[in-house]
Amino acid sequence: MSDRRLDLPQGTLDLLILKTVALGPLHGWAIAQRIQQLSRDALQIQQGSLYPALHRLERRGWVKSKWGASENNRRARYYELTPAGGKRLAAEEVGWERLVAAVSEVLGTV
Amino acid sequence: MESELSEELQFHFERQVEVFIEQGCPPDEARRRARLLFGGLEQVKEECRDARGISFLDTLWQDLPYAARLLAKTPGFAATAVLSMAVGVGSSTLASWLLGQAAFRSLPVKAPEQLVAFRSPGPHLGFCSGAGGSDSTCFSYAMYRDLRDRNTVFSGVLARSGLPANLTFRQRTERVSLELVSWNYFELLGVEPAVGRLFSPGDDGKPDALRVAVLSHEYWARRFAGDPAVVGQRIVLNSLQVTIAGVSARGLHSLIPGRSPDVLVPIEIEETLLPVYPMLSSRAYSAMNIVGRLKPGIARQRAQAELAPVYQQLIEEEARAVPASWPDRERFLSRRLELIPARRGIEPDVDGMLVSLSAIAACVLIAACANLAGLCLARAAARQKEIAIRAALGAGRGRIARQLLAEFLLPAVAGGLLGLLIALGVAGAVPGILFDQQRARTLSSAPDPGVLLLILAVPVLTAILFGAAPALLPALGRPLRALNTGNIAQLGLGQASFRKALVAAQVTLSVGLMFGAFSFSRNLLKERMWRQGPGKENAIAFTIDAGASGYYSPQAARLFQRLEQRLSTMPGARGVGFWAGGMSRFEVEGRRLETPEENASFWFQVSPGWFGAAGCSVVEGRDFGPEREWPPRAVVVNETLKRRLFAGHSPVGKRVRLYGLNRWAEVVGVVREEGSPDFFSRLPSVYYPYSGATTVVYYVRTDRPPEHLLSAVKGLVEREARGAPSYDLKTIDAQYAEGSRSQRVMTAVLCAFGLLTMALAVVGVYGVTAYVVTRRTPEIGVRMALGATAGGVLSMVMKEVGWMIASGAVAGVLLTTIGCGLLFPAGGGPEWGKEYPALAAGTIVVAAAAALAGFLAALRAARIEPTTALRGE
Repeated sequence: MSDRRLDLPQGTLDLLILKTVALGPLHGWAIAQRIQQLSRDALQIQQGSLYPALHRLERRGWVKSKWGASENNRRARYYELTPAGGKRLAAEEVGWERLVAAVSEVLGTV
Repeated sequence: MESELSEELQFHFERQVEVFIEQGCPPDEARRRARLLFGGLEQVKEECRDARGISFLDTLWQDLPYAARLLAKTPGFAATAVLSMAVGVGSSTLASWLLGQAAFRSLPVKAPEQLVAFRSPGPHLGFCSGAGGSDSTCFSYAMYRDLRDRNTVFSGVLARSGLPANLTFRQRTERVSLELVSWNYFELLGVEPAVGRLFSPGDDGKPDALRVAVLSHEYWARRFAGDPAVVGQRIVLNSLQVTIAGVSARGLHSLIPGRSPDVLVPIEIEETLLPVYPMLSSRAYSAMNIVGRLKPGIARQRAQAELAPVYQQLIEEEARAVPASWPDRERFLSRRLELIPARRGIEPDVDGMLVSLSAIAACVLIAACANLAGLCLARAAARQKEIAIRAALGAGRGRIARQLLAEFLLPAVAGGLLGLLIALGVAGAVPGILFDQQRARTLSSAPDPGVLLLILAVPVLTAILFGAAPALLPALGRPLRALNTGNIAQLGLGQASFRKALVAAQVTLSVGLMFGAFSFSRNLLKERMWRQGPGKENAIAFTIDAGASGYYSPQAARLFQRLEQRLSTMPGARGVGFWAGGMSRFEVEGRRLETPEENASFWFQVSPGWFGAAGCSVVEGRDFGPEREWPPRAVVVNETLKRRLFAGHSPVGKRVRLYGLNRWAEVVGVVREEGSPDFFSRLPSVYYPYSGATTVVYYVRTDRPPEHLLSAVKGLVEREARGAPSYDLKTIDAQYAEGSRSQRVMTAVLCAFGLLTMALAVVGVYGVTAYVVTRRTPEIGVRMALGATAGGVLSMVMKEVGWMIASGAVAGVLLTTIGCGLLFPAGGGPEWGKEYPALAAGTIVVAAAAALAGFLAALRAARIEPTTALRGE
């Protein structure tokens, strides 16, 4: 198991989480796995960052949590996007694209 | 909360372990790697908690035991803080409770917001009896009937009046307080009977309807032990036999707040009740208060407007019966009828004393909170390093603030609860101590929810405002900023100025309270000293109302003389006399007396024995002798009147006349009252021979402590005067005590609370000065090393102390002056010219005590060894 870890600034992690749960409720473990999957293993979110981020997002009202049964019938806490979270996600995506475009300009991308 | 977090993280952990196992690790290895991957579980939890922003209460729950441990280390301060908070909260609670009842409690009747009281300021025809309320709310019975019958805006109009009377039940006679009410009183107010029945409008006109009475609930419980069998019993009111029809339900005392009548009777009974003074039918006798219930949907202003022409007409009719020469005629005709809301009674129940007591309680509470805040700041100051380190280690501002808040809240809440418990414990007894009996009865009810909220809210809000805020604000900003700049020494200097401000505030409060204490004490002492004069103490006084019990004037005169004779032969009596009278307008032949100071004085008819008993000696002219005529031919005046009216020249030979009489009386002498009760000599008085009053006051001089003779006197009067009980039977000292009750209460309260507040201020000064010295130890060390003397250092520190005290004292003087001006608008309270010494005394005492405390703390500065100071921190 490779141990590459990209250091994510805080805002980006929020964005990734919001995007991940946008499609449906997931519990913490599944969120981490999904992000890892979708980034083709480039991003491995550590528990130490994930859970504080989830709790922070919940406090801001962008996700809401619910206890439910997981795939193997254990109790797990599921997070899903709220309408406010959806708006935030949209805003963040736009912001991210702008940031990427700007940095690419500076770097003179291929 | 906690367990959910653990569960969530545990779930994640388990899944990670499963992943490792799937990849081929043995279970132990999997767990180990997972654990490594996870990192510090507690740290993650902590971060989650922070991210979540855990609730205030949860952290407080952790902080409180810590705060408690810290407090336990300094029991002295802790005790002071808790006790002073207890006193502050307790007294504020009691004050709020009393003030709330007096100011906010509606009458316990049906729909009190529909009630209005009739009010018409202006001159009256004839007498205005003090039946309750001020003169402007008194009307004649005839006027009541007219207004009742000629209005369209009320669903009912009632009238009430008050009267004392003699009540005899089963051979025992006592003086009671009667409430005279109209037939619709109970029905209009929605009062139910507790037992038996009450008056109803249908009783009006029935033959025997007048011979009934209703007991008040309170009197029934007190005198008849709540026995339902009282219904149908006969009692004798004055000389009239009446039957008890029932008892009114608990709740309403009287429409006049502060009054607690014993028996209620129909108004029309008055003519038979007081055979000697029937006044009901006369328009010149205004003794009724009128209250109306507005019809639903009719506003007060509209009713007032509709009634105005009716009232105007009635006034004009009444004025026609008055001679044209009546000087107040014009003003009488311009009287207007006002309708004032009466949901709380006919007159407001809040008086200066209640407001003053509340203000004092508030001062103490604020001082206690300031004290506590200062202590908390002191603690925070002492632990600056620790706070700075915590901040460096990552504790958030909020976290630190919460912990400091816990340190403030713990003694505050503990003291507050203690104070609340004490207040609840003594609440039953307090009205009895502060107020006279009748008023105390009306103020003793249990608080209703609205008042309860007020009771609790006031001290809590004050504590938060004056305690928590100062405790937190300076402690918050500094540690972190100072840490950022790396300047540890800067920590806490801001705190010092804040604490100084707190202490200055305490000094301010102390000055105010100590001024009050000095002022009231001085007045009280003056009364006492004045009364230590010869012959003033050993005397008994009582009143006897023979007229109420059916003694007409000649019989009453015989009774009184007989009584006087019997009393004078009683062992221990040195002189007996009686008097009757009061303030009257009068004329002096050949002079125009314009102002009330001039043309009204006290006219007393006195028995032959009175001058001797009261210790009056004739200093000019002669006594009026044994003549007994009405109107009197000869009168005697006292020195006060001579001074007031004749500018010290002899009045002997001048002629005076009571207003309305047609014969002049000649002034034959001047007396000086040396041994008489206080009020006689202070007032300008005219004495004339006893001429048949049926209510008199006896004055019995004794040659031994008067308390021993009280029961003998009472027994003698009961034997001699059948059915006419003595009342207000007290020693002269006790009479004064009763009269000066509120003054004594205020003095006691002011002294106690003043001293407490001053003590708190003194403690505060000491604490702050000691702190400042500690803070500046390095600097002082340097100064001393460079040659400063101990004296110089001392004066440097004292300058700071001086500023603190001076600013507090000046603010205290200013606020006290303004406050007294507000509380006692001109004429209502202490005259300023005389109060300056008290204000100065209060300021000096507080300043001196505070300065002494500061000096003691500053001595520490003088004892600093330069080398130690420079070495340490």
